[in-house]
Amino acid sequence: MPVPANRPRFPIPRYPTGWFQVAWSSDVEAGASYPLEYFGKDLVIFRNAAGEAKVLDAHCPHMGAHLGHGGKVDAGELICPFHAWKFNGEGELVDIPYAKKNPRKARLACWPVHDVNGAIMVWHDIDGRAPMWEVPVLPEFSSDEWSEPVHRKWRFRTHNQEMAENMVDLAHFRYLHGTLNFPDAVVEERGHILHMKANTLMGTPSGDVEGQIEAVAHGFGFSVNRFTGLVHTLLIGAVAPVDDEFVDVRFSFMVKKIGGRQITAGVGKAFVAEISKQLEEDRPVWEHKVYIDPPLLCDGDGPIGLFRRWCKQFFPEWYREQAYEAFHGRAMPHRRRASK
Amino acid sequence: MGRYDFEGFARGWFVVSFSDELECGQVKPLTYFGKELVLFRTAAGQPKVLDAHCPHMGAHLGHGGRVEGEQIRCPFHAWSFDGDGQCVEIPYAMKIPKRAQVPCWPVRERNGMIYVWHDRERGAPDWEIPILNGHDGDEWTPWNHGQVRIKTHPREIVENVVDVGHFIPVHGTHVSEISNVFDRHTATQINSGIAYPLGGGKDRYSLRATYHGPAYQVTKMDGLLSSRLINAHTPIGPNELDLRFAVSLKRDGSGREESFIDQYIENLRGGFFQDIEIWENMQFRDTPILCDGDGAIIKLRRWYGQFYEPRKKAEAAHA
Repeated sequence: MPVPANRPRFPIPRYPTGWFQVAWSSDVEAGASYPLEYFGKDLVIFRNAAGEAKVLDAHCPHMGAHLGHGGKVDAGELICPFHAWKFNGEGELVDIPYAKKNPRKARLACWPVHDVNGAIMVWHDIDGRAPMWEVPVLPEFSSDEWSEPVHRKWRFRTHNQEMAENMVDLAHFRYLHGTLNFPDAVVEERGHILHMKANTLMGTPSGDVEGQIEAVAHGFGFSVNRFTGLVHTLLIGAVAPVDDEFVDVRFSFMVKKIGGRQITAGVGKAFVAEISKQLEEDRPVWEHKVYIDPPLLCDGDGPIGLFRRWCKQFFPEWYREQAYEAFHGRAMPHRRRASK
Repeated sequence: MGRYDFEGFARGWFVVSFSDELECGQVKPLTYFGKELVLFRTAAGQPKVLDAHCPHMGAHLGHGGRVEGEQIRCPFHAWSFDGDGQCVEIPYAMKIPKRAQVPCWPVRERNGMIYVWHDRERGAPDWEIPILNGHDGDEWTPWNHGQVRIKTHPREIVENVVDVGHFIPVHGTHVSEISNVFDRHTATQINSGIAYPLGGGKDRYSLRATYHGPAYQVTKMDGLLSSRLINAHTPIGPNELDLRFAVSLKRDGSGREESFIDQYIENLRGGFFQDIEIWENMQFRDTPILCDGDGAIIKLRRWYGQFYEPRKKAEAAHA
């Protein structure tokens, strides 16, 4: 994808503020450490003595070894494979087996973590600010009326904001995914939340089912999509920025039990297959598109403008100016707010 | 003469595909001149080149775009563009926005190749690629062609014109006569001598190798057989290009040209790969240390520089 040397692909910043899924909770076992790569950084994840997931910067401040490659976990504390320096879940140095005195400065940055809905969510903010909102605990996960979640993961060459834009890009559902109707959607923004509600048809192997779709995005990293109708489904979409090129996409699928176990399983399978098919249809578009600002909209397009204004809150002003300049090679003009 | 301006990409015609690589209805993404482009062939057989990205939401027309009749449809929201890049249909909108168009590139198809005109000033072509007589008939074999991607600046390829021995797929040549003629957008080397082909024996040959513009060279060689060689490059970015080469032999009724041609193209390819190693590692010297036999390089550089200058300036200097 040769573009002029060193020019970033997007004129918007890469790493937004918010909660982002970095792992499935079930994949992080007690007594082990794992490497992670998110937000353009090397991280390490492990569980402390209480079983809580902890995420730290990966590299030992001593001599730079990666704690997620060969680091051992002893009673919930992480031991560097290189010289056996030992850190607790907060990233504090607790022991150097061969030194009389621990250097005070020796600590690892510790990231806010929320282990919820079967997912390990990490808070990222480029300015290091504390979490400004919480990830909601979804009732479906503790309900007997819902199936066990099915997990899927993809890696795409795109940007968090580009994926999030799909939700309000109503026209693309029909023309890229071949959905039968054009969702007649109502979109509202409420702080970090973007809320979309629409009546729609959902294609299933046994025909199209009428129903209502409700999508709630909590920033760019976490969205809850509920379909209610003849069948009820829940889809959690979690998108985390890996580096300057890629994002990881994790979907959790659940269906409300209907009929026997086999019917529920059949509905679940069709649901996973349909959504996975849509993602594969989106892939070539996402991986090769450019970001047009402002886009050239026509009368039938969804509320793209509202969406893009909502997006700005996830990047500090200085960060947006920096990204603009890196892309365009000139300072970001200060646009006057359009008068209504 | 001073240094000439090598910023940006030269003005002229560039080969972007051989004709037999693009079927009716086929869509291909291209990256040339530091830009993303889309190449497609309409149902009526017309090759078209547009800027790749839809002006609506930025999708790449070359990844999932579909040809419908004489138009190409964007995969994202199904906006449809004609061969001139004008949006002619949005299936869900009452009105097409006026600015809904994609920049369109001048294209020619002839001699079994598809050429695109590049000009930073966005001017129309002021000369044409000549037609090779008899290419479309039975008189000449179809192109046997190849392509390599090389990390180098186009000028390194062009400077080989003064060392045309690179393009003669024979082991040894004894050059008895060589001259260079620079005329506006063309640079021709005329060369004759004795070649010693792989199969043994002696072959008295004469050739004319002409660059038509900065990037497309046709060599016509007469000897034991009459042959035509193509050497064409197209820049991808500032320091990377695609090099295309092809051979066609004149049929003389004996049928032997069919058995020669594979060996011929292999020799040609081998010659290029030897050059590639040099091209990818060499440094450009504005004022090379030359010996007395190297005078043509200075003339060549002056001629080549016109394609990087604004057109008005180039016309004044090379009229």
